[in-house]
Amino acid sequence: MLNNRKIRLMTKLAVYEKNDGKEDIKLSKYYKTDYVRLQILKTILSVTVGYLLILLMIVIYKSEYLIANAVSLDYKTIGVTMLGTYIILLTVFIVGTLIGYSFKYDKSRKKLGKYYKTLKKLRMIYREEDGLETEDTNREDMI
Amino acid sequence: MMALLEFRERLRAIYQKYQLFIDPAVKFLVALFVFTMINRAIGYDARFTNILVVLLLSAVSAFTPSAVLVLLAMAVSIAHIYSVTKILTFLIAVVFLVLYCLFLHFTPRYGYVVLAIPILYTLHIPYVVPIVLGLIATPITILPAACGVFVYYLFAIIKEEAVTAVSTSLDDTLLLYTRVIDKIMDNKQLFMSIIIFALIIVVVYAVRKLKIEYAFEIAVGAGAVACILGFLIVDLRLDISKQIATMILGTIGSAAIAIVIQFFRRALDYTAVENVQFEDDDYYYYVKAVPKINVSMPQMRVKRINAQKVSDTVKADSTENQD
Repeated sequence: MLNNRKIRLMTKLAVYEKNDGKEDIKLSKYYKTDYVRLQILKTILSVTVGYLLILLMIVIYKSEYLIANAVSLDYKTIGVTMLGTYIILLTVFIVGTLIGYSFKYDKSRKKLGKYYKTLKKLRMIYREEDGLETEDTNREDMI
Repeated sequence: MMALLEFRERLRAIYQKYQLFIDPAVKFLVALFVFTMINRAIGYDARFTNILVVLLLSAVSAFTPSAVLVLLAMAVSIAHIYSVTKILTFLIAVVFLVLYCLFLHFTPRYGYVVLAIPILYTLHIPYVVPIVLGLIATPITILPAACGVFVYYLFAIIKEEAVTAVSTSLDDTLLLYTRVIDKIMDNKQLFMSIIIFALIIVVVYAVRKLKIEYAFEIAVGAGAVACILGFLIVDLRLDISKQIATMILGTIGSAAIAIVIQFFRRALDYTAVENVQFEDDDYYYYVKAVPKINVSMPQMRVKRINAQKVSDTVKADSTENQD
């Protein structure tokens, strides 16, 4: 027998799982701190790559000057400036990531709450069905 | 107004019915438009301006997610530049990578913004993008919008330089590279445009969050005013008053488009028919879930009042009977 109430709930769940839920459910597998930490790691990686590429562009841009003055360059100052910029850049991005993704996690948790509520309702229906079918209860007893 | 609302409902019904065909068709047309615009702006490589190739690329984009269209458009524009100058191809590729690493990977859902702004710039209505983003998204979309503006100016500069780049030796290659970077860094219009785009997004977002009547429409108006004032200051300061007329007309056009989008958005947002599959112990289900159209709301209210009256009279009857 088709149970319309069950189908309605399952459809709602399936629609959610297909759209927003995909990401929310993926998120729910992490603790908040773990999730934010993972995102920070990703940010550090991408910022480092981006910064290195910018440095590459600058080096090519200044290549003539660099080659001409390779001996007399003040490498210490250059190194300190490069590192300083990198650290500042990284700090800004990490703080941004921290705020942004904490916010995102909380928001997705809220949406997930509704999903769990519907799941609970579905479980109730299953329990009702089981109550009606004596075979199933017997099987449960066996287990 | 009533006629408009009816028209919207009719449109919604049609969309709901033929969604399966309308979605790819619209995507195909958008892709066709995008590739045509790219070819018209920087169509150096004849292989990609071929109409068959354009149609094929559009067909591919029609049946894939929008991110594929963005990637294809990027690849085609890089290929066009590659046929003229190799060093600038390198520059563009590196710039794209930097933009992705530093900004775009935070907002993967809004990748199409980076494509939409340069394309709409050629139609003089790029302002529609920040206004709509303010309406539908959060201020984080400042990042992709800024990247979009940057990409437009980058290609504009490269287009200027590419003309002279056809016959260059190795020494000139480096010169070309430094000249393009100099031009980018000196381009005050680019940086001011980014600031104003960010301002428009923030203004529209802030106003539409206000708890007032017609917040969305007022937000579009506020965004348009911020846009006109901002670019007026920029144009006057940089002494490019020729662009003022196009800018004002473009802003008014953008605001009108944003209003139209807003009018249909609420209707279409909840219209999407969902096809889902799931199973339980006994069956496989293939469900087509069609959202209800809620224009019949007043009717429902009338029904409820009647029902209450009926129950009241029934109650009255029963009390009478008891008496």
